[in-house]
Amino acid sequence: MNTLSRKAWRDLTRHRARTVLAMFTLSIAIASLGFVAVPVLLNAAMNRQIAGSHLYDVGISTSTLDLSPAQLRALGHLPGVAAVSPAVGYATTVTSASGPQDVELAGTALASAPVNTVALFTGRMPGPGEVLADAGNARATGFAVPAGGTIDVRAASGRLVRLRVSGTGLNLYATPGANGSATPVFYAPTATVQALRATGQAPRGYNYLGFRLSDDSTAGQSLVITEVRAYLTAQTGSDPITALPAVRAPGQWPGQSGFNHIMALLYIITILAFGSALFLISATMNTLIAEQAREIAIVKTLGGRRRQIGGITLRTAAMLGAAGAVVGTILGIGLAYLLASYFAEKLIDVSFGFGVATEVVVASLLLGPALAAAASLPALRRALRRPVAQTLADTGTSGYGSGRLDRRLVRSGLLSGARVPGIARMGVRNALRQKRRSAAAVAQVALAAGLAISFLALGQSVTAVISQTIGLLHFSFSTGEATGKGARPFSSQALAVAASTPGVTGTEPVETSSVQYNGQDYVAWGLGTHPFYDYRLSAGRWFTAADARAAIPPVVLGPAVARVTGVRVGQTLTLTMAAGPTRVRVIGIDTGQPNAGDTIYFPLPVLERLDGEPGTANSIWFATASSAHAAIDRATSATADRLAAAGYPVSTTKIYVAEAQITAADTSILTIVEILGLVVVAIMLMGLVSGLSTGVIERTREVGILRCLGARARQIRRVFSAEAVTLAVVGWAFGVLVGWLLYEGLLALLRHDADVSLPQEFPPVIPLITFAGVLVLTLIVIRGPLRRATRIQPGTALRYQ
Amino acid sequence: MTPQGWARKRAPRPMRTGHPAADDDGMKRPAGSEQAGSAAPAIIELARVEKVYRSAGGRGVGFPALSGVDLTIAAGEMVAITGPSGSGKTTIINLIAGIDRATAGTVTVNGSRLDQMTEEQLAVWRGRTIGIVFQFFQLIPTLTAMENATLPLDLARLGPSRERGAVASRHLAAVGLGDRGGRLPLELSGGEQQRVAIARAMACGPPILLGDEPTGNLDTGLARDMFELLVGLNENGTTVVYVTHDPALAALASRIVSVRDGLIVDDTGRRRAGDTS
Repeated sequence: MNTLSRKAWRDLTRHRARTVLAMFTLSIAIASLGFVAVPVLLNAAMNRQIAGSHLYDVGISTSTLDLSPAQLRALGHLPGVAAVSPAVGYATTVTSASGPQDVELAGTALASAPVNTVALFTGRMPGPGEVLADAGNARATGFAVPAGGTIDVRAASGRLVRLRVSGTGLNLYATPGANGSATPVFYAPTATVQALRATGQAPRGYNYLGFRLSDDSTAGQSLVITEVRAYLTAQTGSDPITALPAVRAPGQWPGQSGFNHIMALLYIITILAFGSALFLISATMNTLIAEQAREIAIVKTLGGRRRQIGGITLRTAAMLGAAGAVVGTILGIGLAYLLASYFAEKLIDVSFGFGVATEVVVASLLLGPALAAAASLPALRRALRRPVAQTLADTGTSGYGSGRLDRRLVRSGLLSGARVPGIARMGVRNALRQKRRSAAAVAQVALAAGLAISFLALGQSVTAVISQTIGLLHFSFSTGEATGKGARPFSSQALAVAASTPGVTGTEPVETSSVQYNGQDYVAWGLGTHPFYDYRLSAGRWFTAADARAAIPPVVLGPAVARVTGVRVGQTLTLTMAAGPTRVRVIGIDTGQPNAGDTIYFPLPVLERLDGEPGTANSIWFATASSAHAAIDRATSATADRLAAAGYPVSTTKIYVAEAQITAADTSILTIVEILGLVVVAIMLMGLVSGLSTGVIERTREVGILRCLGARARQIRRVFSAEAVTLAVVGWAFGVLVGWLLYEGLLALLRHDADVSLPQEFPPVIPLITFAGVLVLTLIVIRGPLRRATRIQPGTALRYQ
Repeated sequence: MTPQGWARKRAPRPMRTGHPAADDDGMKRPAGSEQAGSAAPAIIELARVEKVYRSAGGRGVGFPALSGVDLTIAAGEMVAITGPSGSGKTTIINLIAGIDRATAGTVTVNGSRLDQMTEEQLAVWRGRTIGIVFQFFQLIPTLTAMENATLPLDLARLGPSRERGAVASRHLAAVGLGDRGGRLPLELSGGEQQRVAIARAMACGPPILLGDEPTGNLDTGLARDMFELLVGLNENGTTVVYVTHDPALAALASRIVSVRDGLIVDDTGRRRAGDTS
């Protein structure tokens, strides 16, 4: 090894503490590249899930068909069909320890189904008398029954059948998490579900056929649908298909858009993390190289050429970067696995085993030395250009006072006199000594504070959504017409039955419908003059009794409708409804956010009439005596039973469950941002610690001098604390602007990509909270460097080079 | 605290030859030169002091800087410590200041046993007892000359805070920098920086002033001017101990202690007083 290489190596080993600190900082920066691996790992897990699900290309719902094995084989041999899997679905209600709940049971061949295979996550596959809970039930519907628990299923015959939950599993086709349904799903052997559906008259059989095709193009799908329809018609004597066949485009899968929204957020956070990593690397290498300025000058006096000197420095940087890359890559693998497995479980219900994104690992290992060397170049260039004499004559007082800013600050008296203690004065001015490094620290704090501010504001928006939607609905549960045979709208008789239910203190009939305006669908609610909905009008008025007889029906617009249409109070618009084009007059504009503000409110009698069912409503809202969940569950169950007995089979929705679902859906977005953002904040703080620690090391001799002058430990701590707090406060100030910009950007992104509209909520208290947090965190993270500073022995410090 | 009286700047003086009569050129002599051997109380005592420097981690063979040094300095003396590089001069200064700790032996300064004090106690004690002037000035670069001179007062919390600036200002004026107090170290010449360092060293009125090559980074003219400042301090009762490798500057002290290979090989001031040979 020649002397140049030896110097490169010993430059690392000479100051072990500094080297270890720099290497650790680099490793943290490289580890943050693990963020990039998170979407890669999640995509891979989802692709495995999709492949394992053997998702349908064509799905056909039928009337109950008692198909023989021969007929099923024949279906499988139809032109274009690669595989067929029959299933039977049954919508019913169950009761459990969690209370009554509408559910769907899917009877399939489970793991052996060639189409729409059910994957086992926990426990074991269900046998007779057992069911497998969908892994997305808890998150998507709030209805969780653990393995070993039981559900009492209401069979078609009316009796309750107890089934045991054997574990959890998932099929992307049916899972409520992917397709946005709020109905829990359970999987069971076909025979179990067929037995539940069986009545004296109805045959056992299947009501769904899933197909995988050899040609999954649109033409291939159409061909198969035609062939299947023809075959089944020939076999049964009539067309048994009961709904438009479902087709899946190649490469698409249920819940894909939601998954892509999550990935988009992940990539944005990843970019922020990578940017912070670059900051860290640059600041670290700049500091290291700047410290080599005198030795670079000495080597120049010995005849060293720029290429040779640069070679030494870059070799040192590359070695440091390589060491940091190895440690950082290992940390990044762990970080990526933890984050990806968390998101897989909490957000997309995908089974996730340990995995490594090879391309990210390779990139991390290569980027470490490359980035470290590249980050050294600016400081190296400056050091090589600096005159030798000036560098060698440097007595340690340079760096402060050479700039106009330094002198102006001193002359201004801002930080002079008895107003500012000398100790604190030193610390504050120290922040200006290494301007580049201080700027990097300020930028890191600004980014961290900005992220924190944007999270808190986003949290406020999420909370506001709840208060502006569910919070405005003053009822405990609602009933709607049940799907399937026997369902009918609610008459006054039904209302009387419902109102007499124990625990119910009030009822309100509501008509719900949908309308179109300018090709856009909106929700229509028919409400009374004093509804259970707490409307907050920004203009106009609510309905009166007289409005029910108005020639031109009056409407109140939700805020999103008003914004999109641009219509004002007093104006009319023509809506497309079931009754045809209908001219309405706007009498008010609401500010509430039910249905994301896309609601058009009608007087109840008017909407009933326009929907063709005057005097009846398709929904009832119920107020209860108690807001306790158990009391609401009891009242809900009793009401459903009474109405069913009176000939009104119903489905029910509990407000507290809906609130939990909305909260879960919206906070899932917040979870991503918070978790990833906190890691980025940690990287930022690491940068602050690194900068401060380097500052302590650099000023070892100065600490010795202070000790010689009689400085106590706490006075030395105060010097560095003042510097750290100065950087933190300045960083926070910039962070307020950064946070506001990030917050607005996130809102726009959610609105544009995820179709999630959150209200703007940026109260002044958020920056203040962040200020307190930045100060506290700063004072915590600098404890290590401060402890080091106060332990420096003066004699050792004065000999430090 | 009263301002120190400084000697006016004089023309360069010839080097002393060592004979009192020949050296009687009218120059003021440091206080204590006629008092060598009198019964002035000892303000600094090193007894059988050893100092071994070890490499980081404490492993391996150590470097013995001092190998059993006995040194007593009376209050008010002006002592020059001389010797070749690596002889242990700076180590003696560091031990007196409590900057380094002796490996063996005792160090008593101004009645305080330094080996029995914690680092924190040493720092506090040093602020009020010792003034140190370094070869390379070692001013705090982010503080002005005035602020550097005030710093020891702030650290020791000596006197009301609103009066500390006035005290520092008097010290700066005493070293001839009364109008340069608002300058940063980078804006001062080497000589001016060293004057600030002296003002800083005397800020708390310490009884002992230590200098580690205090004029080593100055030209001859500035060196002699600086030395006159030290003489003036000594005349006012401050015990001055300084390290120098310049025989000419060493000769200006009332006592010269020569160090070689970690041992005191000569002590001229004391021998002159009691020399009967």
